[in-house]
Amino acid sequence: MNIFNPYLNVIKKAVDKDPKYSNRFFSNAPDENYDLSYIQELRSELPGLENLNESVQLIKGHGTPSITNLPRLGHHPDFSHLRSTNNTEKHWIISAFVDVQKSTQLHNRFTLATVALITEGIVKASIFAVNLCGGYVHRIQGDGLMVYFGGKNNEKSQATKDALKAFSMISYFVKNDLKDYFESNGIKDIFTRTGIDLGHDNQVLWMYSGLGESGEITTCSLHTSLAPKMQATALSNGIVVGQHILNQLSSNNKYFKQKPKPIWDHEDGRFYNHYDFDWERYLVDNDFAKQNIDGDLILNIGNSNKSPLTPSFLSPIAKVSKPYLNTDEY
Amino acid sequence: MNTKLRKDLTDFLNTYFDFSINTEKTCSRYLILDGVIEVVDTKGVFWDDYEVRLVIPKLGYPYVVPEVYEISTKIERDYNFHISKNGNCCLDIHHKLILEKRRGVVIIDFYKKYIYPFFANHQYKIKTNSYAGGEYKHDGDGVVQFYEEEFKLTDYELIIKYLECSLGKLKTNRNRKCPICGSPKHKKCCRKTVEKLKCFGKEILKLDLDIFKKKLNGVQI
Repeated sequence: MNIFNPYLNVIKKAVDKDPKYSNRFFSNAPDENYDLSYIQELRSELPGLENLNESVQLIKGHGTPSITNLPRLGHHPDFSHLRSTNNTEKHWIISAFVDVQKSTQLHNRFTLATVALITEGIVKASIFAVNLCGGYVHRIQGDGLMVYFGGKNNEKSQATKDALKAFSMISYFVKNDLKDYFESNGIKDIFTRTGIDLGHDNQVLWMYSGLGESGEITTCSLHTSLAPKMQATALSNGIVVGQHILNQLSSNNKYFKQKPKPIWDHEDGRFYNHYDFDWERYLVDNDFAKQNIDGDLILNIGNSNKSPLTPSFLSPIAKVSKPYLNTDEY
Repeated sequence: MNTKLRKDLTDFLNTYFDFSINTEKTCSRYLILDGVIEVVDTKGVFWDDYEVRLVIPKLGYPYVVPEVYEISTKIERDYNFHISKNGNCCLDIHHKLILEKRRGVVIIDFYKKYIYPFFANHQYKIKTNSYAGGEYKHDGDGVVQFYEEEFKLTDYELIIKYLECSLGKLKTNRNRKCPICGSPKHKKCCRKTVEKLKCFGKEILKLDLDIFKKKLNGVQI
């Protein structure tokens, strides 16, 4: 079973039940005219921490400590000592931005309550993927996230792999599971764009930004600022990463394609490059996904139970083959 | 490597990420691709995987037939699994493969039509003890089965006449009496089948003629 299925199932139910969508050819009534009491029930069906813990146990092994609560937004736990102080600290971090593009068209099709539930489903699925891979969600903006990977007890190369894995999973969810379902309901061009970059110790300043309680522990870094710029250059369902990310992977060439123009000019003769990341190849190569006959990806991470092998589901593919053997030739 | 092969290869490698060029084995005559086939059913359930080697002739591409070797030895080296001792998989009867060759192959299409289904079918056979779409008998009996299924022909004498016509051994004229069935105009009865048979090429037709003559004389083949 795909680990995103619980989120997808709720989104499917919300779309199927939406009264504005089912009456779209007959009525232009305002949302208030519809009974939307079922939405609350659907919201409660979205998976919570128990789902995350199940997947963590499956992937990292039984005995892994349970997550009792996720850290609050805007306060990276490794830098919480900076809260409400004027202190600063230099420490490397991977900054990433992801959001779902063209999702505003959902408002034309569905009631506001359904759009909110779809958005919540996508955000929760993304938070699930980020936390499953050891990342930290710093900020939520609609259906977009700002995320950090790394901290005091992490290795840079491992945090890089974790970040690439998490955003590959999110891209997979939107490109495959969600898009297939939306397209079957006439909603096209829903896709994600992601930008990821790594700033080293001397390039990232951690600080508390804000006034009193109205603030957050955040980073001041060229590379945090470049991540959303990279996101803006990403293709549909694309992930764009900075040169520093690429440098962390030992076998890197086959996953990255350099963009024609550098993302940053240091104005001292140095340029900083950014790269399209082939996340589908990365998922397959690392056995996070398998490919079917058409090359479509089937996510393989955290499959909780081995599905039964049913010959009738294999037959349509298998029956195309009719083998022969000439024993003289073989 | 010609332009068509280069394009088809790029498309294939950009679609199936588990495959790569075996640079050590690839030579001027053959392109060798090594990879893994993951058998996944229509519900997305994974069954098993196989390490395979695809051997694609460079000369004459796309008018070639790729060969497939199963190198993980998950398929028992038994003729009943349609595989040779060295893992060469007999994907289909040579008549169909030769037609693909004459039309010109595209690597991705060949993979989807012959290679992947062969391994899915092996999984199906393990599970159910039979092939999903049936199988051809070995050797000459398989050829006899092919003529029966493809052309609805079971009479060896008649088949021999068809083959002799296709090989030009029996003279035909579209508007004259058919030398096969004896009806007044050849074009209205057996010509269509003769033309279909010609597509297999003289080499295969000669072998088939030999098989059916032996069958007619009761020789075990």
